[in-house]
Formats: sequence, C-alpha cells, structure tokens
Amino acid sequence: MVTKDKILEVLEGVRGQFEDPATKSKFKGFDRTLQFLFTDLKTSFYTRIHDETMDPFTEGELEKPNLLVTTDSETLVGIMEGGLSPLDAYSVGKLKAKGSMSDLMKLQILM
Amino acid sequence: MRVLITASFHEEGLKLLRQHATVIHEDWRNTGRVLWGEELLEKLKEDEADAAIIEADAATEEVFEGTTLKFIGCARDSPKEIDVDAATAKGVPVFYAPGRNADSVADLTILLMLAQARKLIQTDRLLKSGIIQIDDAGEFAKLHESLKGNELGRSTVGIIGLGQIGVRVAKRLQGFETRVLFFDPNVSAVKGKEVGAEKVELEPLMRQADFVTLHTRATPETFRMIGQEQLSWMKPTAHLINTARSAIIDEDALFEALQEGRLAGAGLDVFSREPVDSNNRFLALDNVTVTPHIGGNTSDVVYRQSMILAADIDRFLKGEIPKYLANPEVLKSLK
Repeated sequence: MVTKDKILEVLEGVRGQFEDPATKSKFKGFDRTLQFLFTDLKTSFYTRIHDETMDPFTEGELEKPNLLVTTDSETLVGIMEGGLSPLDAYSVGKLKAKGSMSDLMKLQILM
Repeated sequence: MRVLITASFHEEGLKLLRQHATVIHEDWRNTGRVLWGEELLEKLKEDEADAAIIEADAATEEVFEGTTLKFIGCARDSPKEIDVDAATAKGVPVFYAPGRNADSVADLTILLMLAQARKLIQTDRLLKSGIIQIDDAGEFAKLHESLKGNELGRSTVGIIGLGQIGVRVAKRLQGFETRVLFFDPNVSAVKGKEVGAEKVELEPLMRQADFVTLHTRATPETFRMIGQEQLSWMKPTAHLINTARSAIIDEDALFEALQEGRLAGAGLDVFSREPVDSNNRFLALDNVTVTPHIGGNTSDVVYRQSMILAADIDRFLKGEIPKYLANPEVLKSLK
C-alpha cells in the first residue's frame, strides 16, 4: 500500500500536466468534477477541471462527482509512474470508472 | 412494453422482438453516443423504456435503482458493462450473447498470421510509398528476395488459451495442416487433440512456435503473463498475434523486442491505449500489422448477437427457460 502523501504527490503530478499548453487546449470548454476513491486507503480525493485548469485535490467526497475513478493506491501509482495503462487496469478489474464515456476518454489524456 | 436497443441489431432480431414490444432502435454506431450510468438512465426515462439491450453502454447500479426494467440484454460475450449484482437485487434478468464474436476474431487472427507470414502490409506500404522503381533484373531479384514469406502449413502455431476463440483458431489451422501447440491450464490434452492441438507448457510453446497467438481473458491471473522473459523465449523469426486484450502482455517489452529485431513481427488488434488512431506507436514499425480492435467488427457478429439475444428474450417472454442468463436465480423470484 502506498502512503497518502505519495498519492497526493501523484495527484499533484496529474494536476501539473495542465501546465502544458497542449494538455490545456484539449480541455477547452470541459467543466467536470473528478473524484478518486482509493479502496485500500479508504479515502477519496476530488477536484474540478474547468477553464483549462485543474483545482488542487481535496480529501473527502463529493455527493455526485461527474467522474468517479475507484482504484487502489498502487494501481494509480502504477498508471502515473509505472507505465500501466488505465485501459489495462480496467480490463483486469484493478480500476473502475463511472461517468460519461466521452469524459472518461478525455481523462485518459492525463493518465 | 417498450424496449430501447442501443446495440447494433439485425432486422430479423428486431422483428422477433416486435412481436412482444414496441422497439426503439438507436444503434450506437449511428448515433455516435455511448451511454454510461446516468446517461443511460436518463435515456431510458426519456423513452419510457421498460427494457433495454445495450452493447457499448454501461448499466451501472443507478440504472437499476432508477428504473423498473423487465429485462436487460448485453450484446457482448459477457455482460461486463452491466452491474449484474444490482440487476439481480432488483430481479432484472440479464441476457448476454456468449460466443457472438468467436468466429470473427478467429478469422482476424488467421488473417493477421497470413499477413505477417507473407509480409502483406509491408509489401503494400512499400509499393504505395512510390520509391520502388524496377529498372533491371537485379533490382527485381532484390525486391523479390526481401519480400519472401512463409507458408502457415510448414509453421508451428502456439495458442495461449484454448477457449471459444482459441478452439476456432485451431480448427481453422487444421485446414493449413499447421502444427498446433496450446497452453491452457484449464483445458485437457484430450480436448486439445479434438482440434489437432498438442498440450504443452508455456515455455516450450514460446520457444517452438513460429506464431504465438493470445486468446486468454484479461484477469488478474493473466495480467502481463507475457513479459520480457517470455518474449525472450521466442525465436527471432517468430511473430506474436494479439486479438485478445493488451493487458495480457507487457506492451513496452513487446515494442522494444520488435523495434530491436528480437522478434520478426506482430499482428496486433488490441492496445493499452484505445481507441487506436494514427498516433499508435506500433504504426512506425514495418514488421507490425495494426488494426484498431476490429476482431469482432463484422456484420455476422451483429446478426449472431441479435439472434442469440432475441431468441432468448422471446423464450423468456413466452414463459420458457432462457439459455443465456447471467443471473438465472432471478427466474425463481419472477415465478
């Protein structure tokens, strides 16, 4: 299991991708809330993507996030740092996602 | 009853269902919309549908919480995108279409093997590039030699996973008189013999095969079962075919092996990043045939999935026992 601090660092890395103008432009007009639920850490972090930026992650749960990604801490680290693809993680049940298919495809840009 | 069908569905299947219900058919391939969770719930409410047949959509818990569906069908080999537990809790029968695409995927697998064996795509690309100008016999001989291929009949094919698709691949290879090996801990040697395949362990299969073809499901057990080590067992003249799932293989290790010529080539229909577009890194390799997950993309699959589901739903609505229910326990509560 990965520590909460490590997860925050990884999530900050996700957010950092919005510094890239190419990434920003892909999220033009996109306004969605996103929540990661970590089953092993028994906690969630949420953010909002809007105006081609991503808000800092906050620990806690939104009542109704537009996108909900349920996974474990090691899988997220594997995706962000270990070359694991979200699709592969999804295929073997290491990751579950809720939300619109189009939004989830957009999210793949960041992972 | 009103049935919303967002799956691709053949007219013959629609006709059968129209005997029982008003059918709203909005094929996702025509609408370009894939409805997940709440989007599907909203659509069902909007259409006042009390039953559904989906293909690319996802029926999550909220769909069952927010509706009183009489049944739901999934035009896929397994009802992966349906929350079967939530459906069962609400007493909703879940139909699916096992084996709907096995023949099509097996066809594509053979096609990829042949394409690799005969350098089909490489040859086509070369000629279309406009750089080939044959002015003398020497140039012709050189080109001819560079495009020399192999027959499937004199090759050894290793099938990993002898399920519905693997079996069909083996049967097709019997027509080529190919030597076929298989690795599948869940299938007996006797069963393999029925389709002309010899049961072996994974390592000898990888070492002996001229073509290794993957046909296992993606599960935590099969996750990256083919990694750098397993790829290193393959002959440098061998090809890898993957029409199953990318999660079975370490894609980075495969890419490196192909790039460095440690493997002769690959035929790939599934990738860790999908949908596949022109940015796919394997397109840069001349020794790879790339297709964008089209294994089951045939009109025959549409026909088969339609008829499997329509016939089973017809049986169910007539009070008979359906064949392909993911949650047969709901039948008791319906009685």
